[in-house]
Amino acid sequence: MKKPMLIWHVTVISAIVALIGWQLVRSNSQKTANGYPDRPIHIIVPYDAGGGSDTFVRILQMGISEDRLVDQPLVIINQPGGSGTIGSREIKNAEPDGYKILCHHNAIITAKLAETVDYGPEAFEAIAMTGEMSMVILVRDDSPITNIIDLLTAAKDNPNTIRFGANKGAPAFFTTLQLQKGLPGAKFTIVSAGGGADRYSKILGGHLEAGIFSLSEYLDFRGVAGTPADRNIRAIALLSNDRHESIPDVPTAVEMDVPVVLTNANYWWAPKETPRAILDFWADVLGKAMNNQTVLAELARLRMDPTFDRDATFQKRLSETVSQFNAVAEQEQSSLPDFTLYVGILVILFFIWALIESRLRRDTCQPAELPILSQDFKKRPDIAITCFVLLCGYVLLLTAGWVPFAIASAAMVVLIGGQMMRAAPARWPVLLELAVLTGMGTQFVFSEIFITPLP
Amino acid sequence: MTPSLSLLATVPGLETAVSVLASPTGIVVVVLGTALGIFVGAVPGLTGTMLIALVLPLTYGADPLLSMAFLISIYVGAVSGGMITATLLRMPGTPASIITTLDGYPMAQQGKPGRALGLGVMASLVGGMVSWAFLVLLTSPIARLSSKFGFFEYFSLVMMALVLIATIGGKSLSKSLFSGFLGIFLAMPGINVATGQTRLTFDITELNDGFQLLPVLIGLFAVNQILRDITNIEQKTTPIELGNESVFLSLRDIGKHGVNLIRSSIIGTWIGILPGIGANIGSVTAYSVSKSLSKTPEKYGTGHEDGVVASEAANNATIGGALIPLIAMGLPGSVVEAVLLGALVIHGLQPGPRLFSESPDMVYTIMGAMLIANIVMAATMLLSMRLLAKVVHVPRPYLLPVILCFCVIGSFALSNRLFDVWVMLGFGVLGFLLESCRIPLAPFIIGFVLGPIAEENLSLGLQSSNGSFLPIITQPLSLVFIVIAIIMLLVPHLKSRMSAKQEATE
Repeated sequence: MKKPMLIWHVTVISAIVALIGWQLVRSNSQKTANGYPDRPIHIIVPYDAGGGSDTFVRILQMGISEDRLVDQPLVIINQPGGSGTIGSREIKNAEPDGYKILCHHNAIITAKLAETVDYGPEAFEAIAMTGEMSMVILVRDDSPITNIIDLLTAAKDNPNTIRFGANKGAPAFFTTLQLQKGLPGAKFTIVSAGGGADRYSKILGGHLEAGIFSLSEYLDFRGVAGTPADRNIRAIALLSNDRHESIPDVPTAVEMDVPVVLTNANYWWAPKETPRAILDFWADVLGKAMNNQTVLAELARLRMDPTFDRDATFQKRLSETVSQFNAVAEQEQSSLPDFTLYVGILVILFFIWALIESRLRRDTCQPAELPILSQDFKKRPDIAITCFVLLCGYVLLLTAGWVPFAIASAAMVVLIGGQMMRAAPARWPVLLELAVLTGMGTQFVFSEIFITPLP
Repeated sequence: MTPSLSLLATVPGLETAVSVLASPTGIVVVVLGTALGIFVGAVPGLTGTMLIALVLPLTYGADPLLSMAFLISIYVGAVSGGMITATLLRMPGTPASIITTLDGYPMAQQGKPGRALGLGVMASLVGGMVSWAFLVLLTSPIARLSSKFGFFEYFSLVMMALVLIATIGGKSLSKSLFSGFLGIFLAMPGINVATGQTRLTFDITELNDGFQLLPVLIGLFAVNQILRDITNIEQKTTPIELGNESVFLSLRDIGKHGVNLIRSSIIGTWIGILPGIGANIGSVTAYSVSKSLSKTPEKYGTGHEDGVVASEAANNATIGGALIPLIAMGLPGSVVEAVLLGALVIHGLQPGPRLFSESPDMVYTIMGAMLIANIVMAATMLLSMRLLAKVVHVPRPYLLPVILCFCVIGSFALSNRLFDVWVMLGFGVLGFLLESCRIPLAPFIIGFVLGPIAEENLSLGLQSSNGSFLPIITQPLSLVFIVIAIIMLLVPHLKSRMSAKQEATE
């Protein structure tokens, strides 16, 4: 045997032995717990890692593990997309066994009103509310608008001239509709201007007259004292019941007789029909975590108010919020051109053009655009198709979850590699070793180093 | 504030940054990050975005400065590492090096793999350095300019880039346009940002988020290529080896490619600054500009050195470019930047104009890490090229199934759902079919990435103008971009017509 091959075999086999050892140790250590929870709990965050919701959940996770409130590890799973509906649907369809819970804010209510999904909070068991963020209305510092009444008057005197940044379908959008109702006849031009930083730069650039921001966004974006007025922002109203200590000069909309309140609160949800005991368990855990000193310090840094609500007061608050949004929900017909139709027509037209052109030019057909060394070999689409079918089978197997990831992956590598060996030289022992190493190695890397779930 | 005063005020931050990066831990972090980045960059199916996203949770408990230095190093390494497999296997290791395959692979086939890779490393280094200079110079002033851009200005800016669909890719204009518009169309399902409503989802709830870029890219490029490799498995290719050929270049080479290097680096930096557009578009743009300015445009795509240089200089230059809006405005310029933005926020730092005054140490650490990572990248690549190139000698039955496994994990890890894996498989087949019909994939990707940005900004512009299209030509900045776009669209055609006429008269 050649020396490099010997080195390969020794290295790989010792790595495999080490991995098997790790598997044994792991399966032993997991058998100790009894009663709920006896395995890791998945917390679904329906937004990207690093976003506001994700940061909040990770702070709470820190508090929970610091005080050892839950015996099992909490695994945070980010399922971003679809305005939070990808993640919320995951929980809606999950087993009500308490091993998957969701942290989601008001968008869970508005997603239904915006017709993104056909379910709202009623499709879940609500556990508790933890932490809320005040919201403010901002204008550019040199704007003549100094309070909420000015803003509404301007929108009434010259309808559709005040461009207001609030994303269609999001909670802020419904709140903007509510604001409009504060003065009959007022009409904003509502623009879905993206995230906080986008809206901020659009306000500075004079492309928006006003917008809704979170308090922490306002405090972060606000220029230092002495910033020229055309490069700074100013809060004209706070959308809370009471003034906030960090901006005591900013009046609330309620004070100005515009009864509009919007705070961004984090709610915790479990699948429908989750046992009462599990819901109470989590309400207890979250309540204790919200008293943890580290959590309180971190939330203060984020300018988030450490409120906590559960049971009756929470349910009352939730149903109030739902009816508040319901009251203004309206389906406005989009006045935008139907871009999908135009692009679709263009795709078909260009397809026909390309088709005609290739018919006409068949005789002068260009060879493949990439030079290929030799063409005198047999193409094997049969092997490619078999391999693709095997790959689909592998993914199906993972979807069904019948076989652990490591075993399924190892089998996939062996089968697909074996198929290819019909036409290309390679050795079975190496392939087998490689397969086991891939399956167990990836499992090790992703569960021990990156701590992220595998299929 | 006078410049000297502002410089003095930032010295403490600079000192902290230097001491962190020059400490033994700092050096280990940067070297390790860069090496890891090169590795994931080189393996098709693994991308820097994925590694950064996966490493991010690890840094929660670590020192913020070191964490960012690590993430930036991975980013630099990953954008560079892709050229190895792009050149030797015609499999771009990362989307950033798709364009490198066009000339790198033919060069390797013609027996010049070492030279192709050497040029690529040099171009990457220069691109990184040029964009680093812009990063240092422009970050602060750019914050002021950005707020001048409204929705219509963004739309026109993106249209300028979309015009590239018609000018790059294959020889057939109709096929390029078909591919580009198909890309735009397939980016449309999901939630329409402008209205908040779903469209083209056919009641498949998983489609509420549309097709994500990462699975689409892995499918179109990795899965498609693997299927093609399996089909051609009986082909006896002389394995592309890096014999004794030197990967080191002479000073004359730098002189020879000087203009192209600088131009492509500047284009890459500029593209990087634009929000939402990443390294792949940077290299496409630099490549097509370089091609249209060249005296021998027909050589591009057949193993032309200039093509490799343009692509690699530009894709590395996008890093510095994309960091400018990230630091200056808190706006991510690409997918990776979005993850980096998250990393800063997790460590309690809000990027934006205030980052400069509040945590200058972080600003200088990011800048310093990028500088060092670039040098480490070039050194690592040149020294370990032979080792990395060994990947090519691994028999296909060993290599391809393992890559498939990584493709599946990579698509899954994006948002932890198997739907994305099916998307990857579907686009793998689509890419295979398109290429089999000689329809180029580059316009598809440009359409897929830029289409939604153009549509979103146009829609929001229309919302704010109450339905009027006029601002596209009445806003001065927007008009400038549209005029440039029209010129870019027409020039290649006029050029080819002129040369056709010349030939006719001769």
